[in-house]
Amino acid sequence: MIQVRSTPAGIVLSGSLPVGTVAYIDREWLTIRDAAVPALIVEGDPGSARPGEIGGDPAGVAAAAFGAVAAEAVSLLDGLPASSVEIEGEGILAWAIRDRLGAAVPRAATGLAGKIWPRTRPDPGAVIDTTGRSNVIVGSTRRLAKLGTLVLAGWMGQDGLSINLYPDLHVRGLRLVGVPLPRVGARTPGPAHRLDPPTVVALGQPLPPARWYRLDPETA
Amino acid sequence: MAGLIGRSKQELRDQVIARLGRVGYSPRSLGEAQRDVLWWIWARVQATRAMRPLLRGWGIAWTSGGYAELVPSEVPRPGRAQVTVEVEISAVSPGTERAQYLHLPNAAVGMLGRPGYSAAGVVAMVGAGVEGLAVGDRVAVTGAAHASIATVPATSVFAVPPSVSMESAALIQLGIIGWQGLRRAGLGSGDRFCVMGGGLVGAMALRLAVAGGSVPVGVIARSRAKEKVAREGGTPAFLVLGEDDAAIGALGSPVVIEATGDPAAIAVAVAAAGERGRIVLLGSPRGTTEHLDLEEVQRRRLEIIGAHVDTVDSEPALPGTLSGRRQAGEEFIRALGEGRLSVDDLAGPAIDPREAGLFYRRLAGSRDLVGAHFDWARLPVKERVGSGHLLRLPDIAAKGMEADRRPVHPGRRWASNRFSLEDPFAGATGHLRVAMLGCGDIAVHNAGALVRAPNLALVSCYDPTTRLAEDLAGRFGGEVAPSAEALIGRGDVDLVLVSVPHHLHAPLAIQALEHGHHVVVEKPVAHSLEAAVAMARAAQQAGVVLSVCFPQRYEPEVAVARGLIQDGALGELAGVAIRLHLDKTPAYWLGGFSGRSRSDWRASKERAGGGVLIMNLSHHLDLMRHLGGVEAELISALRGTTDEPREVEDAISLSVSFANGALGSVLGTSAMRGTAPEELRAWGRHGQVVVAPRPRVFTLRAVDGVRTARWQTFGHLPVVPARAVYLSRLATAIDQGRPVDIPASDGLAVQALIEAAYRSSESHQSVRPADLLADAVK
Repeated sequence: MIQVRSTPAGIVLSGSLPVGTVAYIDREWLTIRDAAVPALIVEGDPGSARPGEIGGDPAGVAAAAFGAVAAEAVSLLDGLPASSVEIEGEGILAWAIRDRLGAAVPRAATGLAGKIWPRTRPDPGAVIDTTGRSNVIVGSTRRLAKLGTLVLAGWMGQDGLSINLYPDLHVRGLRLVGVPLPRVGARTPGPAHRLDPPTVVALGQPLPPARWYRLDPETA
Repeated sequence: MAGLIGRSKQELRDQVIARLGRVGYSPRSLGEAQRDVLWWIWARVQATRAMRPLLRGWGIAWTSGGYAELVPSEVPRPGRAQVTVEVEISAVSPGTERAQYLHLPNAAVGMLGRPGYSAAGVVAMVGAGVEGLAVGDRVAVTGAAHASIATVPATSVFAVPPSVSMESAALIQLGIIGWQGLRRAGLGSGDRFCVMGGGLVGAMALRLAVAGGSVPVGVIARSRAKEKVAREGGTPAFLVLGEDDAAIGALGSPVVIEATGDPAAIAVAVAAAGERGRIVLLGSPRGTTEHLDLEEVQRRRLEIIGAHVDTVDSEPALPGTLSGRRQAGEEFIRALGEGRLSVDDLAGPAIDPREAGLFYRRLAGSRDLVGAHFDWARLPVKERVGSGHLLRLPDIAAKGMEADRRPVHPGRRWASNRFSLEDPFAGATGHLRVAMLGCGDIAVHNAGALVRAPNLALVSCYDPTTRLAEDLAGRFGGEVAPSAEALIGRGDVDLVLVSVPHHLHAPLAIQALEHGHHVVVEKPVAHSLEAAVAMARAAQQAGVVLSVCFPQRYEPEVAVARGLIQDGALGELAGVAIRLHLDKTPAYWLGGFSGRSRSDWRASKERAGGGVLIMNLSHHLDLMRHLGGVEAELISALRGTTDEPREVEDAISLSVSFANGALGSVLGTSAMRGTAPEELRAWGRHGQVVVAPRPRVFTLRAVDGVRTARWQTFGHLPVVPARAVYLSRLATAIDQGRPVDIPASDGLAVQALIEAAYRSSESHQSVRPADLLADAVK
């Protein structure tokens, strides 16, 4: 089990991995401190050059797994133009989805920009959430256009969602649909998207900023 | 600065409210005045905008916290592309309207809001540019609040074929809601689904889906209360939460239509859904869903889809095609007409619109009602649709909102025979010859009543103080008898009227009864229960009438109150309150209120039997029985002497428990300086009647002549010679051989109440009057 902890030096991973496996962790899965985090555990030697093969090159397996989630999330948009879709999150999954959708997919506006920017843009027809955070999810429901779609592709186990379904979902006819987290063996039809390589980290090592991380057995 | 502005606004508001309070406005009536003004303005804005005159009918409104009532409703005549419908049936959406009535979350109704949105009726007027509809056509209407009249866009009106009942047609908006749910679910022929919630929305969705060829796998509900309706809708299984949880979890339904309105129900919907299942929110959740488990939604790739009816036209219709709402409505009516869909049983019971307040109270407390509808045909025809007046001033008086301020009066609109009393002597027959024993204080009133009544005559009187008898005979006729025995022995006497100190009631009355005379005694029957029973026994053995004089029964306000209670204004009796406050000065104890006959018998426990209770409150105890119609089962009493020490009480308090569970409170004193208004009121679950101090009624029942949910006076009642009426009716009953209005048994019942109260005050225990009476008659 992998856990994330806050230390004076920064955020670190702790725990252990089964021998012969590596773990891939999206940065958006690391929001809860002192708790277990999901991880894509892949068997194999990260150095072997068998990309995309199940049980072979872990990097290829991970890319396929994350790519499959991105593909499934995009498939739920019912042909919406990319300009009408917003992506919540800055991890590898969000990046993969943006990459799959194509250019000029706006990031969801948060913070001060979020207070200003939404007024200049029409309501999105869909939001794909990769954060799993309840405040972000609720905020997304309120931003969506009528009959819009919210795809839940983040880690939903972070906190229980308290939501007023009536104004936040029912009245505007929104659609909330779940996409499971990446799993080993998942594949997408067609060529796999290339993902930027993860940042390799060790247990107990402060995590540098990155879209995703790889925790190696040698470093575990 | 913002804080100062806020304070001054609040101060200004408080000052205005205080000033309005001084002229009779309470916060509640102020709210009602505001509501009426807003609706008045709104109606005139609508009329001016459309440049059409106003029409007037009646509609249901939330008038103040917890109250719903029928109020005047104004709508403009139809303008271009509009239709005015005279509504016959308006369907209740129980879940929505219950939530609105109880101010539940997500159910706000603003001051201009009114309940209801689905109705059926007949086209009354058609605006320019409307095709396909004519005056007299049967139609279903969406967006029509509960009212006898509605002016709506023609696009909200759907023709109804003769084969479809108005009750079914009135459910049209519910049909559109259900249709939208199925559409958002993508439910097609052969698709499996389940429904959560047995209420109207769920039942409608179930039937629409079955009519469309979809296959139900079950209905899930909190209880079995609505199972019958669900089974008749075609469900093969009815699963109850807490009993069938395993079966619910095993359903694996591809589509779950969630129609409970319970924010926690989504968790059950998630459990019932299969992999990649679609959960359609058709009911409006009343509150926040806590800890929604999105992990499960994510893991099983579930969809949660909002399907509020407001989204039915969110996607623009293609040119030449109908809007979503129009398509859904027409399909609903078509399915009814072709027999593919049956919803008559979902219409539920018919409710009189005047009883809206009562209905919503029941709805608030009951989750068993699937459907109901207001039947506007129960209003008089001329009330349903009439001409409005643009220049009519708004009703800011908020009449009838408060018990003591600006009540409604019976007038033209609420006119009824109830408030106009017939000639009280109509039908009087016979000619009773009366002799009076006792010519003191109350005897003068009795003699005057005898003369006033058309079928009685005073033939003789006797009093130990001869001058009193001579005075009475001189004023009212008859001969002065030399003794009580002589008077009783006369052969030309039919009835002896006994107006003497209480301890003399029994010996004199029994003597008269044994001589074969009918007897009337002044209240109470006697100074003790034992003596009263002896008198009743003597009357029974002699085969003649013994009656006790309780003339207050014939006061017009009492007669009206009793009629209202018998017509259901209160519902079942729940409570009675009686207050009597007198100031018996020292002179009273030596000669009564008038001082006519000097005697101190009233201060003697042995001769009077007691104080304010037996002397004065006996009338009220009789009225309590006469009005309430329920016997007192248990009495607890406290008594005391608060003024100068006397043998008899000048203060007494009774707690009364009635046979049906109602409670009563009786408080009397004869030592209150300045006195206070007398009070007599009775109430039940449906209303309240006040006989004193100011006769009026408040009822949620539709009672002839009374506006529901407003305090209404009895109007200007005639002065009735109550005592004379009592005696005249007694004479008529004796002449015709019928039972008299106030037989000995009534007198005994009151006597038992009095005895129970005195015993309770001595023993400090509750006493059963029935037990005392039973012991006394053994």
